[in-house]
Amino acid sequence: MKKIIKSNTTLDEPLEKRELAKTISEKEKRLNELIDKVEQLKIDLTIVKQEYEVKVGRLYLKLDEVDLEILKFKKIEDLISKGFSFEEAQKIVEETLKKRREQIEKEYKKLDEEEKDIESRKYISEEEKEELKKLYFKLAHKFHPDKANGSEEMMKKINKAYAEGDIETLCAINRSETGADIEVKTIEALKNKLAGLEKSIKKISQEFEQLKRSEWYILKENIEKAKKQKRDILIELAEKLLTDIAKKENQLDKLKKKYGQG
Amino acid sequence: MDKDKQIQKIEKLSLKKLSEDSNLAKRGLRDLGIWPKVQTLLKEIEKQYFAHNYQACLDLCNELLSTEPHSFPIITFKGLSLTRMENHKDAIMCFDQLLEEKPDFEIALSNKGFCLLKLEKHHEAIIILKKALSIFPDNPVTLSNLGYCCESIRDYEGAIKVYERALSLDPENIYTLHDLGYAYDDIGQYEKALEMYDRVLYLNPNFLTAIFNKGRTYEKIGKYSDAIDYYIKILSIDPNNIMAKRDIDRCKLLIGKK
Repeated sequence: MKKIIKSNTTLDEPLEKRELAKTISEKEKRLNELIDKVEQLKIDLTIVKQEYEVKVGRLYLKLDEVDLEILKFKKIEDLISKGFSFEEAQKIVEETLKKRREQIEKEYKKLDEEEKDIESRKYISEEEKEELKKLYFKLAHKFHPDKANGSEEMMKKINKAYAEGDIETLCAINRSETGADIEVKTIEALKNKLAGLEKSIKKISQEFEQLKRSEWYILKENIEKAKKQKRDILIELAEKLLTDIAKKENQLDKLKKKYGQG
Repeated sequence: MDKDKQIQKIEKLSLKKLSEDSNLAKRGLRDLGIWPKVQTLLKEIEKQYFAHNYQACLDLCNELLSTEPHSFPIITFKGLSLTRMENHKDAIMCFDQLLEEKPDFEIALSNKGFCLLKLEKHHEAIIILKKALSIFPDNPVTLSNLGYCCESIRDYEGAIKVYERALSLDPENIYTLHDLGYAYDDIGQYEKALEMYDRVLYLNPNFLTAIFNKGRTYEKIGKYSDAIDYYIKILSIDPNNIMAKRDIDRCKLLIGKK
């Protein structure tokens, strides 16, 4: 955008055009700041999400698994009381609980994927992380879908490379893609550009507000608040869940013994 | 790496993906006491339902079901709210889910029967309602619905039996009284029909349907001037009732022919 400002400083340019260019430049600055804010928040939330899923998410799935096993035995007991043999009852119940079991397995798989991702980021040095972030923001400014020359496809590529800590790809994108701004000349074109910018700012502001209302944001706020009081609420939650799981596993063991499955 | 997998992985940074994957977070927020606990929300669901705020109740149910997809009481309230909101098809899906877990859950059976009735699947409804009655034989609502279904498939004798049983449990239910009167009319027992309509109008003199049907029954037995009296009564309550005006004209014509 510097190009516009330079070309508009000549004296024969009409005043309106110069003022428009000034507003555009301010709005562009604002948009870039907003994009930074939103992208940074998304990164923060993703980190909260990954930490939560590793520390707590798995335990919830484990709890669901134990609950399902207990439910299985309760249903088997019910069928046995109606005259079915254990084997018959087991077969019927397994069939009815199949969907729920598959659902839990699917959730586990999701968590595995997330963990792989965290693993791949673990081996990046602090310097590299800083470099990665810098590059990421630079490219995000250029290619964010809300920018005039932005591209959703390119942004996806950039996000993926960032998530995987892939500096090489980010550097390559930086070298090959110019994403240069097209010089805008007429007043009408400038006005259109300004309107487009305002629309983008509005859209991305809404996205920011929406993110702030998300579950992950609330969780993040509470984790930070607790940290100030030297508490780790995720660990506390995990401990509570582990106690619940242990209790239920006890119950399950008794049921298994009863039916000679232990 | 294949292309589909790439896109899937990248999306986890997006807003949409963040909210899609938030069910585990919601559970944590509730267990940490940052959000109201499930028990508290369940009480709220109950409160909204009994205050007839069915949409609010349904919204709460859907919210809770995102983290407690198999909760029996929540699915029950969802089904009941959908029934009251006349979304009978979705309500039946809820009741089926409950019945899969607990085949003799009377509330689900009775309400599923009612939904089937509303969808005019009378034969199916009768099977389900009879099953509900085998568990809770004295449910006046189930009896009344069963009676209606029997009548709809022209099983008038069956309907009368069911209505009579419902009346023995709740003798002042004007709807059952009215429906029984209608069933008696259907099988030509006009005196008994008139008696039932009288009982309805004694309890609620402005029950328009009963006034109208009483007029019709009088017409059937040729008492046109009595019929006119009742149609006039309708006009005194609802002066713009076109049907009552036509009925009066017709009766006057019939008296003239006589």
